[in-house]
Amino acid sequence: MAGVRPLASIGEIYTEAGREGSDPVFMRLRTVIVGLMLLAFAGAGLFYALTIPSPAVTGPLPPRPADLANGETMFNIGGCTSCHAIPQQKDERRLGGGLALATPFGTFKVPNISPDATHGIGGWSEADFVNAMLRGIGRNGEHLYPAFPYTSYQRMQLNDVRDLYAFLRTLPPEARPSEPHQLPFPFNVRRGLGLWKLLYLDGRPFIPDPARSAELNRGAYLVEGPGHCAECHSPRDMLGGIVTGRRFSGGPAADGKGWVPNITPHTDGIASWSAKDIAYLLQSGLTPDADSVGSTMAEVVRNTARLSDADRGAIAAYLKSLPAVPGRKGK
Amino acid sequence: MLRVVVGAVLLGLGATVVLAQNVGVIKERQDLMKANAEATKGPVAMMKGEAPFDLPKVQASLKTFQDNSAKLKTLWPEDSKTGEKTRALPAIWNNMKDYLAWFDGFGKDAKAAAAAIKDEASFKTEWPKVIGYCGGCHKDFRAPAK
Repeated sequence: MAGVRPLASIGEIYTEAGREGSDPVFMRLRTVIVGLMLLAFAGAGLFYALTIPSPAVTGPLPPRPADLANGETMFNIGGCTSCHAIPQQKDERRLGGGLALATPFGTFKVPNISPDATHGIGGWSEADFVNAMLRGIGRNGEHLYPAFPYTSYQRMQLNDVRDLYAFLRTLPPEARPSEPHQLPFPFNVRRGLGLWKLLYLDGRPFIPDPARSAELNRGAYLVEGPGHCAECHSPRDMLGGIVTGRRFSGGPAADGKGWVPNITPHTDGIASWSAKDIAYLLQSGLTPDADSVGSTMAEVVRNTARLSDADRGAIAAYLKSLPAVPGRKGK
Repeated sequence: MLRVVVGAVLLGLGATVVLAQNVGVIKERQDLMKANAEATKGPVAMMKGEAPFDLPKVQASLKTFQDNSAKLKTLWPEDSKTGEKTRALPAIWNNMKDYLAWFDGFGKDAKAAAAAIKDEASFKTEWPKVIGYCGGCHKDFRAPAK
């Protein structure tokens, strides 16, 4: 019968195919197709298994009185407000989000982390918050994008994260919906971040080095953990991970505008700076040659200016103790 | 035809003159900024504990800030947006009122600090308030260093 026949149902095709079961070409094709499907299933299964989020805590944490002053210190060193404050207004405690972060992977829209129950994190449990900070996992078990620097926050002590949670809850709620990120494929597949985390998230907390002074350990903790200095002051590889061995040696700014300086004690970096120079920069924003830092470092300084002299001194001491790494000079 | 040529030449001359004026005003404000930076050095050494507290020196610096902030306020004409490697951002001209308010605040707080600073302790509390203006303003209105 010549002419056009309407597309048959799957069942009919199958039956028709059965009739041609003896055709060797068709048989081979079917084997290939089935094989490919099995491979795809296996691949999907492997992808699924490798990308399962692994939380730091499950279930509620034992009750503990919060230290709000320490929470505020963590808020300041953590720089939460620099990204999460509502743009174009002066109150840095209004954490309604909305800032657009343009990166090579797409544009991230910073979410609302105010205590608003609907739009912010008011409905989050303490455990939810801990998992976000230490494992980059959202409230619904989804992977969070590492534009949120949990690769550093994972080093934080549990009690510091809990104090920060308590402190954030004292800030004003903002009824402002978080906006979706604008990311192209494949970066819009959150599940894929599970693979990224296998490479760049080890889940190890900061362990003080008993051979070093209390000041150096405090500085190391602040710099590597909540302060997340390396996140901007290091070069990144193609997948957006920090290049091992070149930590703190500077790199292009994530938004492509300008260069983030080398902060190791190398002549390309800040070898000529004293610890006092570094501490004073973190207090005032002034470099030893009396220039003032601008752009995002000005935001950082606004936060570090609120730290204690002891904490700024500790950060400076730790930076002076880093291995000297060459890397393009930057201001 | 002649009229067109003469007109074009005159226009070109005019543009050159305008350009020359720009460079002057850009240089002028850059020099004042550098003078401000220079004036911070003495008191900053005192803040770091690298130099003994010296009240007259601190007062001289604060006077420089007051004088220079008043002058700097007047140096942002529309035709000074480019040239001389200026790092002035277009945000200045898009938010002129906010921008100039930084100089007012800087001058006013430098004056207040000059009145409030009597000894090392008051210096250590007052000085950072004045210096906060540098980074605060540069953050939004100066391009990052290349």
